[in-house]
Amino acid sequence: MIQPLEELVEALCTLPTIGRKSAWRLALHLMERPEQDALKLAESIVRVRQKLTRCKRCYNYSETELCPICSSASRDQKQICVVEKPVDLFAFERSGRYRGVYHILGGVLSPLNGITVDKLRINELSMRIINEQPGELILGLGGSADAETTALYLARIYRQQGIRVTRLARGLPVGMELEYVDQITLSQALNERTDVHYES
Amino acid sequence: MKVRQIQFVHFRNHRAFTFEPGDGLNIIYGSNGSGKTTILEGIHYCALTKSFLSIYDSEFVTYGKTFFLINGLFVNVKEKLTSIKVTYSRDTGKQVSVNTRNVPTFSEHVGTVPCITFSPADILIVNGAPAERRRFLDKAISQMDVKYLQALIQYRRLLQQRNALLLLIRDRQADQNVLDILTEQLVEKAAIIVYARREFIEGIMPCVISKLRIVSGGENPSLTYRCTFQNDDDVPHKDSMANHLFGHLKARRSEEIARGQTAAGPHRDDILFALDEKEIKKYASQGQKRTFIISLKLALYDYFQEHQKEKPICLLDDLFSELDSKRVSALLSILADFGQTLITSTEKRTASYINSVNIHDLI
Repeated sequence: MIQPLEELVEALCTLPTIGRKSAWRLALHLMERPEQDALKLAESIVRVRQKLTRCKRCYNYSETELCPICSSASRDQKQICVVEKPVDLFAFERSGRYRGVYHILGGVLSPLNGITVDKLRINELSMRIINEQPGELILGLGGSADAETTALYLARIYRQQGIRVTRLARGLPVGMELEYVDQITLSQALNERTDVHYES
Repeated sequence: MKVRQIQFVHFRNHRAFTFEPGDGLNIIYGSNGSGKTTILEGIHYCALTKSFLSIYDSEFVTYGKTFFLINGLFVNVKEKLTSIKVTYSRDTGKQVSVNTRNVPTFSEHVGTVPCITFSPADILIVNGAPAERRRFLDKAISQMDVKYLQALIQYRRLLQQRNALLLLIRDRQADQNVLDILTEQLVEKAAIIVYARREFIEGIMPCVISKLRIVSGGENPSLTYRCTFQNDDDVPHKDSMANHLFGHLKARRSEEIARGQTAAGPHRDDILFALDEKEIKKYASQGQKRTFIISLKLALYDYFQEHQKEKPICLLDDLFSELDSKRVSALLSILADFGQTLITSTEKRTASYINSVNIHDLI
């Protein structure tokens, strides 16, 4: 019926988690708000697509050839944290705790979905390790079975090269009541228990 | 564990229906298609979140309706009440809640209401493919051991990944370096599964022998685990089982790649059932097979009780068909000492210890 509006709805439908109803609501919202707001949105979409590339070292999105993290003097360039996707990097950054650099793998191994070693940025990681000689490789991958396989694989190849490979601890979420923790997590937490250090 | 009350909304032919079974032996009788088995299915849904006849959730919704709801009130050995609600609709899928708390992963709930089932289709455990016998083992052990169920779920996932990788390697779309990692992860879970299965079979064997002796009057059964990667007379220790399977798979790697399938492991194993040292599948009569399966199921009761504090609920669908009157009374004498039992039947049976329920009086 109204051609441009329908086109917008179709376009919005292609976004993740957006169905037809939500697409209509968003499209009408954009029509009903001041024109400026909609143009601003359109411009920022154009801008991220045209200005952003991938950092040539860590493969995070970046405006420059090297992203701010990779080019920062205050970051420890000898500590590389391997993550699955950019959103994981942002999660680490929000924690504010990590001072090293990253490597974005672009997924985890899953032969069932055709994702093999050559589909991920593993060769790129190997090249970095040769060039940068990091002191530690942190495997910041998730807790899924596929992430586990990927972590074991990476640990094996880089440990053979004499690199220190670490992984995130698995166990109790902070602030969690023990009685609500499932058995698997609790036994994992018990396995990975650590010594208590007193600060005096 | 006992069912105090079970309530159905839009569940098969029960549009709105509540049933309160007695604490001991209940026989629900009535004509074909009156919804006797559906009552057992409802209780099974509360216990194991699915049908025991392997019917799809969507097929339980009353024709023309959009959802079903089952609400079960259970009481444990300490008289503590647990309310279990199962709902299903095509839009939201299946949801299970225990005491109004939503259960996000169903595997966590499995085992909290121990339950033993029998249906005439169980004859497949003897007659059918090895997969049927593995399903019997897995269902029984999972109810007693959450770690077994977890290992099984992880094993299946790893197996799919590994088979997919073997195919990719065959088609030269991947090389072999990830295969070792997947194999290591797989054999670790395999060892947990095979060890638990062997332990289970060893434990249940004396119970099967004693039950079958009462029901049949003298047949001597045996159960043997048939493992695809180890000989029966040379069973490796628990800790070396994983290494053993790893070595076995490594030796068969070219065969595995050519077929794109994992050659050995618990997904290929089987159990051999025998009566007086003859394989039941090949040599026993229909009635003998049926008696054997029933004894196997009743043996689970003793085994569960030994390993858990709770007495299991027995759901026995059409238990008496094809059995002679001697075997029926032998069965009833065993069941009289059990916890709560629900049996469906087309005929009425009366005895002092039987709570006979005519389904037509309920609806």
